[in-house]
Amino acid sequence: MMFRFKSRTYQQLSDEKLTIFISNGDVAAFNELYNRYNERILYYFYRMLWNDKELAQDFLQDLFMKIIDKLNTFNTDRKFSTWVFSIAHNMCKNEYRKRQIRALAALEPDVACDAFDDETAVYSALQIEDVFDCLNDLDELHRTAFLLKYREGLSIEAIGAVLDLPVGTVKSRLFYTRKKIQKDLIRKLQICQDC
Amino acid sequence: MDKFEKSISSTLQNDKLDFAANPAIRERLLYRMQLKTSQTVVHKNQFVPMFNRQFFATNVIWKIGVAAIILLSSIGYEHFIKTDGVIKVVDSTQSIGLTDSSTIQFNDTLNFN
Repeated sequence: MMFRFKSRTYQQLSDEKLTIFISNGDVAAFNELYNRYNERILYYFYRMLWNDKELAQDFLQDLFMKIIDKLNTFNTDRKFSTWVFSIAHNMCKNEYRKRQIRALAALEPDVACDAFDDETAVYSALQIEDVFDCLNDLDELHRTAFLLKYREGLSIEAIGAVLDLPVGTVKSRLFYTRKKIQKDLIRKLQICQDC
Repeated sequence: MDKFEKSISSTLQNDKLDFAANPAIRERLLYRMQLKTSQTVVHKNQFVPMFNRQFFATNVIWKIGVAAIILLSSIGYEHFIKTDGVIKVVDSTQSIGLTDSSTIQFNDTLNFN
């Protein structure tokens, strides 16, 4: 079955307005919302769920099913992106629980922030897989906060709303994640140089 | 944002997946949307809820207020003042309403001033 829509007018609407159309049963509005979010959500799930393509696709479908069924619970005064990522985050959390993988890495209470003498080398060595290798050692809250901030460009307040955490906690998690990545990348770089 | 943050941000934002969402997902979702829409029951010609809203005791204050406004505004409405057959005679000192019986319709009430 193929669906085709004239989505010219819908493209000008905000996400929140589209949700009003969708709750009134507007299929074309839903199509527009799907166009806007499917890549972002797929990326999020892919990176949060161990780079598993199939799982990311399944979760993407489940998330949009939830949007269809539970849209009446969305408050249009809030930002839609925050709501969607809250659902996505909760789905990931449930998946971790289900698999009993709570990758709570032994987080050091605080990182002594060494001066990174070789910072320029770190920037040039910054490869996406290296970043995610470092991120995989962290728990889902750190990963989510990091992705939402640097991939999605959400504000600290919005991330706090998604994760249901105070702003200060989000900041400290982001700080910790950044420092950990910096440290790990420098270590990797040194290992490579020794080789 | 410091240099490292900027670098991380651009790295992440330039990161593209080597696969896209399965097109079948969109089809399934849109089908589900259509199913949901078709389940919505449309009630035609339902007058009872409308009368219920009008005559039930809910929002009585508002209803009384609206009725009062309509009543007050109709007081000065000229169509409700019977002037058939009344000819106004006006001179510089007084205004008298005289009745001309030849212009009154038979079923109208005669007003004598």
